[in-house]
Amino acid sequence: MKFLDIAIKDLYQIFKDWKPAIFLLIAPIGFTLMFGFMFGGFKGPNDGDDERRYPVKLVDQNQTMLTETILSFLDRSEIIYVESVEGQTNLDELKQEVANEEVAAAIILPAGFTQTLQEQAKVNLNIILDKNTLAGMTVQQEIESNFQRVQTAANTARLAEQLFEESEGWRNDEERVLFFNNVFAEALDAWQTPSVIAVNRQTTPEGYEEASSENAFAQSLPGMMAQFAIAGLIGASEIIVQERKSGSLDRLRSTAVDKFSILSGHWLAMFVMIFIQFFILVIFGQLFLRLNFFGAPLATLAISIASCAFVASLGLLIGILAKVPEQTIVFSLIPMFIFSGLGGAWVPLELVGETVQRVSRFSPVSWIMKGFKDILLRGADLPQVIVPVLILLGFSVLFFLPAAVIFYKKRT
Amino acid sequence: MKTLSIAFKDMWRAFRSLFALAFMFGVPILMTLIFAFLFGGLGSSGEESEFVLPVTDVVIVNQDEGSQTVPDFSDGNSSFASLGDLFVATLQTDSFTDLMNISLNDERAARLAVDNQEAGMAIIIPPSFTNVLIGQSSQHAEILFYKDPTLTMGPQVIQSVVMRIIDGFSSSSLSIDTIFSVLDENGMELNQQQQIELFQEINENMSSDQEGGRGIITILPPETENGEQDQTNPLQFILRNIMAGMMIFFTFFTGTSAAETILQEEEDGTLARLFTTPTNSSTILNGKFLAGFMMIIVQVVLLLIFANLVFGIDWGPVAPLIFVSIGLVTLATNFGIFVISLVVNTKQSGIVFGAVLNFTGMLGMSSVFVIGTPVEESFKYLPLLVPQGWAMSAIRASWNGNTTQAVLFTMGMLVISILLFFVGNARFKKRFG
Repeated sequence: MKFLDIAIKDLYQIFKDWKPAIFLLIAPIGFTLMFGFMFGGFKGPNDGDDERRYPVKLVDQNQTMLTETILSFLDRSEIIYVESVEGQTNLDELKQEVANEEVAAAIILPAGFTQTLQEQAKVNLNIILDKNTLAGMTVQQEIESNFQRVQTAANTARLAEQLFEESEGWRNDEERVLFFNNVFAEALDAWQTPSVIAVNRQTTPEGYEEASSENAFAQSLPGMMAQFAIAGLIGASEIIVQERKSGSLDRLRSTAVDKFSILSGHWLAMFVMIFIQFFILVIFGQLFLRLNFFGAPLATLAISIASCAFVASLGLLIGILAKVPEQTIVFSLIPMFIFSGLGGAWVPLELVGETVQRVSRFSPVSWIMKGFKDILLRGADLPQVIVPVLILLGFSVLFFLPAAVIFYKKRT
Repeated sequence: MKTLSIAFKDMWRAFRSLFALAFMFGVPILMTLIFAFLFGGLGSSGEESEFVLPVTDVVIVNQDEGSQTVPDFSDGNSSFASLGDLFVATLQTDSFTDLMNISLNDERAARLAVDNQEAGMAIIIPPSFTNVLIGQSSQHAEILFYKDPTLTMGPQVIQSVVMRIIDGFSSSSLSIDTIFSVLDENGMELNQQQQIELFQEINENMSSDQEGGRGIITILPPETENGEQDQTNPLQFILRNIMAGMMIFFTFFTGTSAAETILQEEEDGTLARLFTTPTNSSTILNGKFLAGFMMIIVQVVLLLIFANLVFGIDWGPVAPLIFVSIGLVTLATNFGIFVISLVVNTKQSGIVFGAVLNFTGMLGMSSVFVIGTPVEESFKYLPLLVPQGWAMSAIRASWNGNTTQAVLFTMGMLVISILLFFVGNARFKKRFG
């Protein structure tokens, strides 16, 4: 039971100073909120909120009823937010605005657009955007999709106009234009209730609990939990170094305490410290971020325990390898950056190349992310997270063993 | 000369410290390396700079029962029993192979594939698909996108592409419904011959639109102020932002760390010893301030050159870059002087490192993390609440070739620097005077 005394002593040393709380709790919460809100927060990207839509400038060099109809049609988009500009025609300025990322794209309805549409049913316009950016690509899809509908509406209006002309004829050109505009507007309106609509569902396999709805925090919270658990090792590992440098370890080893108790005591202290961090952050996520950790409490507990075991073993290795307290900072930050970066804590792994996805399997953080994301997004329960749990425990052993070997061999 | 001696002594100490070197150079370079590795698969390797999305495995379930009214649909030389078959054939063309890997299966197997994460998405075409599209059913048809919720971008883009194709199919019935409705409102009715001609013309329009024979949408690339087209490779774009963000983030660490040596020397008693020499306190403090300034110059210059040589990052025109770098060095130095002047001892300075620098730094470079997202515009001004945000805006304006903005932001940095220096210097002089 001596290892318990050592663990309690370590925990007292860790928590008597409030500064570790910055890394353990305040920083992960702060960064979770920041990243989460950046990428949509509780809402999906298609909620119609102006703040969540890509800003697009529309330069209307026509100022006609027809272009106003198009503007109000584009305004229904859930992807782009269109701001109409009157009179601005300087192409270079517009290109500069897109280059400066002030707007995601600029649509130019050139002079004669209305006439071409009314007389030839042709959509003729220019779009300024950067096809090499994610924003540019998304906005291009949306604009082209919308103008495909505009094209259909123009075709429809033109056909109706021809049929009416053959049957009744026009009193004057104004009547013809008005008829075209009305049919065009009606055809665009019809797209509000298209004959085929998309229905979105997500995986909720048999035996799984009910999955959460779309929530950007399901990516950011597990990522920041994992990252700052490793960052939190800075203080905890330093205790081991200080103990060795101050001669306390020598004194301890001259007593009846065996090496394994010392080692396991330090490991346990780190495990408890990180577990408390995870516990508070899980509660925070459940209560304030609408993340359903408690939908699968056993799975959440299993992933948390396995994650904490891995982080504690890593901390033990860092504490044993570091010669001076300063080194614990470098030794903690380097794996933190590498494991977090490659593990998908910052960027979802679906967005990176296949090679990186394969390499990421060697990062324990990717398994922490997988476990928590499966629970939060796919409603996974204990049987479905058993693989990540076992792999994380494997990582724990992988880091613990060299720490133990070095500790046993090392002369203080 | 004494000022210089003190500055060189501090620099010597800093550059011998593993901790300082790690923060000055190691971490910024490591972070950029990680991102280079992460996004290596995103950008193409050559001069071509197309943004490439990962390929998503898609299982299609075609339940379309076709229509008894129209038993055959032709597309070029091929003919199909239903619009569902035509739709599947369209998705299987080479145009979409870089976006999705398509396989066909029944609904149960498709759902299972997505559940087991063997596929990213299942598209389930309903039995009434053809009938609805040709106007034989007044009901709506629902096409089901069954997705793996852990994936976002790939399925989202695929759904957008699929719905565009379906829009093309829907346009016929939508046009017919609208025309009949309009003519009815005007008291007109079409005879059978006219109806046939109308159907034919609509189908011709549809084919013509699909082949791009109708409208012309011209995509123009954005352009920088000096007239150069922005043809940055996506990978370079990301790395440049990350490297700049990390450089700014850690120059502020260096500035604060350099100023912290005043507190360290005070606690060690070496500062008191220095004050007993015939060197006045202003000279000593100025030497300390100068050390920070010179260390950050070395840091910024080396990181800029390293990034250019190793990652091939193009920092844009040199003159504005130099001006912005001077602003950054001045600001980071004076920020360090200011915040350290507010704390009493090195224990308190730990809070500065842990909380103040982390939060101001992350807020300052937050614009980097929202690039390409809809909230990018909102994060254009928020970072300007902290000095790091001014530095980030200045350097981005500089490489975008927007010299006017770069100069304005740098002027802002210099004004903030002067304010921070006056407060910090006054507090230190008062304390040690």
